[in-house]
Formats: sequence, structure tokens, C-alpha cells
Amino acid sequence: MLRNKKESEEGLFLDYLGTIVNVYSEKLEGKGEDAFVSLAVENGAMIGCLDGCGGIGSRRYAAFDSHTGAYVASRVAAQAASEWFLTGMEWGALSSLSEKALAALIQKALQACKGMEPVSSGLKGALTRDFPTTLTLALADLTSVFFYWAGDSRGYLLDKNGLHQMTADDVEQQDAMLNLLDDSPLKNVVSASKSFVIHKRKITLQNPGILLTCTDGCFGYLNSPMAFEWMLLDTMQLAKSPSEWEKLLKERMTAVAGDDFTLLAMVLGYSDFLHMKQDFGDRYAKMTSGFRQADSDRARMAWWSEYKTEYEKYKQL
Amino acid sequence: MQTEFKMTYNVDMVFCIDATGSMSPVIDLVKKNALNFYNDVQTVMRKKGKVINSLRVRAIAFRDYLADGDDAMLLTNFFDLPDQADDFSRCIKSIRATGGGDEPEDGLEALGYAIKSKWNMEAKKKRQIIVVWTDASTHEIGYGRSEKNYPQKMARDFSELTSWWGNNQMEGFIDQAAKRLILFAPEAPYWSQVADNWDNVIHCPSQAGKGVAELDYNQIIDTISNTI
Repeated sequence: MLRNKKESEEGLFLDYLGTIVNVYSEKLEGKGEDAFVSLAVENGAMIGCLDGCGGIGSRRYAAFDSHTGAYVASRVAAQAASEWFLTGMEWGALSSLSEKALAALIQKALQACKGMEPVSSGLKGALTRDFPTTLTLALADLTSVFFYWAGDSRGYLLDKNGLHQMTADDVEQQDAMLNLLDDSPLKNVVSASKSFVIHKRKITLQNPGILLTCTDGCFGYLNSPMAFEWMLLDTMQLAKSPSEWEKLLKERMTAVAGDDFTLLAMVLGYSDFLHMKQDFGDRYAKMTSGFRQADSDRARMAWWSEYKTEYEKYKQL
Repeated sequence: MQTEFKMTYNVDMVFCIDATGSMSPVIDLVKKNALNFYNDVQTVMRKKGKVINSLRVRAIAFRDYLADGDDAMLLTNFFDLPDQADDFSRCIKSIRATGGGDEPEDGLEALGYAIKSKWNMEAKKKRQIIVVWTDASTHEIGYGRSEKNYPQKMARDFSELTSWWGNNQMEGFIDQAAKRLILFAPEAPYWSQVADNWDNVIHCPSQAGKGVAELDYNQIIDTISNTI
């Protein structure tokens, strides 16, 4: 499946392990609570998104330039995840990386932050947490792909059969379409207040594809999971290079998102950007046609019933 | 091609205000805070790109069934804002701090009424927010049951009231995802039990919100406005 590194005419590098897209935007400049990681070593790579939970982590800390706990948490957890990946890969392979070790490392880092006094700390109750953040990581090497997550940031695989959600949101509502209408509180989130679980899923890729990690600002403001896939494909087909794809995605998401958004994508198995575009050509045509027909809420729901078979293909693995 | 999802929210708020005599020194502040509160939530939600499709507010002024008889619990219906903003403002401004008898008040009954509000249940994103301002602890629920105006269908005890609020396993009378309870109340029975045991609660220990730091207030508004 995986190909050797090849430079295209446009100077692109579509290596068998390559992060080619990184889209990040803050709703309020300088106050964005998203963070990301993007690392590649000889024998593997990792991308990831973290979304500091502003709702429950809005305490501010003088020691962190009066930023909120949510702002700090996503960055601290991103740093801990990077350390976990680099250390693990130095001594072993992706398969040896453990979700428990990741959770322990993040917990230790966040507990160190907890020692800092908040600027104001009078509030109590279940809606206040110390340093809460979501986390989603996608790791790949020559043989396997691993997703690690906690919360509702998502990991996806996009291949010529469509978009597949690889992570399961830690919320009550598990239907991705209905989830768009819901605002379910997170049942599990990384934080310094409570113990948390980091989930892990492994797959073996048979065909070329794109791994994505996204915060909810990327998909939560579109009217369906199909719209998210179509946005990815439409911008890809319009773009002439990975950097142009990044730019178009950012423009498209900025127009609709009511939140910070972060999307990282790792392309696997394509020789160059053009090859990737061609591989998704049929899928793009099918999705475009689907959109033309799904012109009402009812039609969209009917399409979703059909679409979700592929979308949820990896749900039970 | 229409792909964007217009993030519109239906926001309902219920303000439970302790209107007993001990509130006299702070009642004007509470009334001012109540009138500012919905605007502040609205402003922050708009800043975050969340469009409010419907905003409704109702008020509950509570005292003590045994001491205050017919004036123990004064309830309004929901006011649609901004159309009925003046009516709501007049209603809040008319609240007088008087009566109350002993120190605990019947705040839990007010909470019971608030939870059973006729919430906007349309299938859009929602916020169903209850805010309590009080300087006193509460009686056990049912303390005033001997009074003829005591509500027959009120929760029998704190355990039943807790089930009205609901949890992840069993939804109550308020939307599990949309609900938020903000307590500007002292650390005292039963407010502390509510804060410690119910989900989606923020407790700001204070005498009806007096002296609440601006940062804490902003944190409360952020918590209500953001996804949690």
C-alpha cells in the first residue's frame, strides 16, 4: 500500500508518512483554546488536536498570563503527548505505546499546573474543572494506524469509500447527525480534577487514505457529516497543492464556525497531491450529486441513513 | 450548495429570587443583576457566533410558606425577549424584600417550580438556565406542607427533587444537555447538597451574589455560553 517518497512538479512531498495539512484558527485572537501536535520520526508520525473546554475550564491563572485553565490544559496536554510519542518511538514502535502511559503523563503535567492559584477561585459545583481539555491523536507507521482520544474532538479516516469516524465521542448522543443538534455535556474529558480514560483504536490500512484529527469547530457547524466530507473533497479538488488546500479549508471553515477550529491531516500512500485528487474524483462526484438531491431536511436525513453505514464502518472495531 | 448549519439556540432562563426581609440590603443589587444577566449571556453567546433564535425569561420570588401564606411563592410565565423586556423589567422591579419568618426559606420549592417550567423543547440547541439569588439556607422540602396554598404536586423530598433535575442515567423535567443551575447562595443546607450532588451546577458561595468578583461572574457567563 505504501509508496516511496516522491517529489511532484509542484515541490510537494507526499511521503508515505507525511502531515500535509494543518488548519488552525482562533475565534478570539490570542485566546484560542485549541492546540495541536504534529510530529514525524523515522519510523512513524503523529498528528493531534486538543480543545480546551472553555465551558468548564474558564478559571484564569496569573501564572499563565491570566489565560484560562482550558487554554493552558490543551497546550500542556499537547506537550505531554509529544513527549510520550517521542520517548516511546525512541525506544520502541507505535504498538508499544500505551494509552495508560499517555494518561499518566498528561495527568502528571496537569497536576503540576493545579498547584498554581487561580486569579479567582470562589466557584464550586460540577461545572467547574481544573484544566480540562479534549484530545485526539492519530499515529501511523508502515503497518498500522492508531487513534487515541478523550472527549469529543474526532479522528477520521478519509478514503475513496468515504469519510469514516474512527473515534467515539464521549457524550450520550452517539449518532453523529443528531449530535449536531445536541449540546451534550462530555462524560469523559482530560482534566486535573478527575480521573479520565484515553480510548485507543487500531486499524490496518489496506488502501491509501487520509487520517484526520479535528476539534468540534471543524464539523459542528455544518448541517451534516456529509457536508463535512464534501467540504474536505470540494476544497481538495479545487486546490492545486497541499498549502492551497489548507488555505481553502481555512476560508471555508472560518465562514461557518462559531468556535476555534483545528484540523490536521496525514496523507498515507499517495505519490503526490494530483494522485490523491484523482483517487478521490469519483467519490467527490458522488458526494456532489448527493448534495444536489438532498435539498431538504427530510432528504438529508434519508441520505444520512444510507451514508452512515460507511461512516460508522469502524465504530464496532 | 447549502452545507452550513446555522447554530441557533433557544435560551430559557428562570430567575429564583429570595424576596424575604433579610434580603433588603441586597435586593436592589439582585434585581439589577437579574436584569443584566440575560443580556450578558446573550452578548457572550453572540460573540462566540451562537445565534439566539428565542430568548425567554421568567421570575419566581420565594419566601416561606409557613410565614408568608399567599405571598410565599410568586410566579410569572415566560416573557419573550426583547418584545416583552419592559414588562419583565417592571415585574422584577416590583419585587419587595419582606417577610420570611425564620432564617431558612423555601428555596427548594422555588427550585421545584423552576425545574418544571414549560421549557422550549424545540429540537434546536438549547440552554435552560435557572439562577438562584438568596442569602439564606433552605428548609427541608415540604416544611410548609401544612399550609393550604402549599403545592400538592411538589416533590415529596430532596431525593425526588433531585430526580426532577435528572442525571445521565435518568432525564428529569429539564433537558439534560441544556440545563444549567447557577446558585448565588451561601454554603448552607440545602444549597451545598445541590452543588455537591447535582450535575451542571455552578455554586458561587455568597449572600445572594453580593461581592462576587467580576472574574467569577465572567466565568459563570462563559460556562453558560460554552459547550461543556
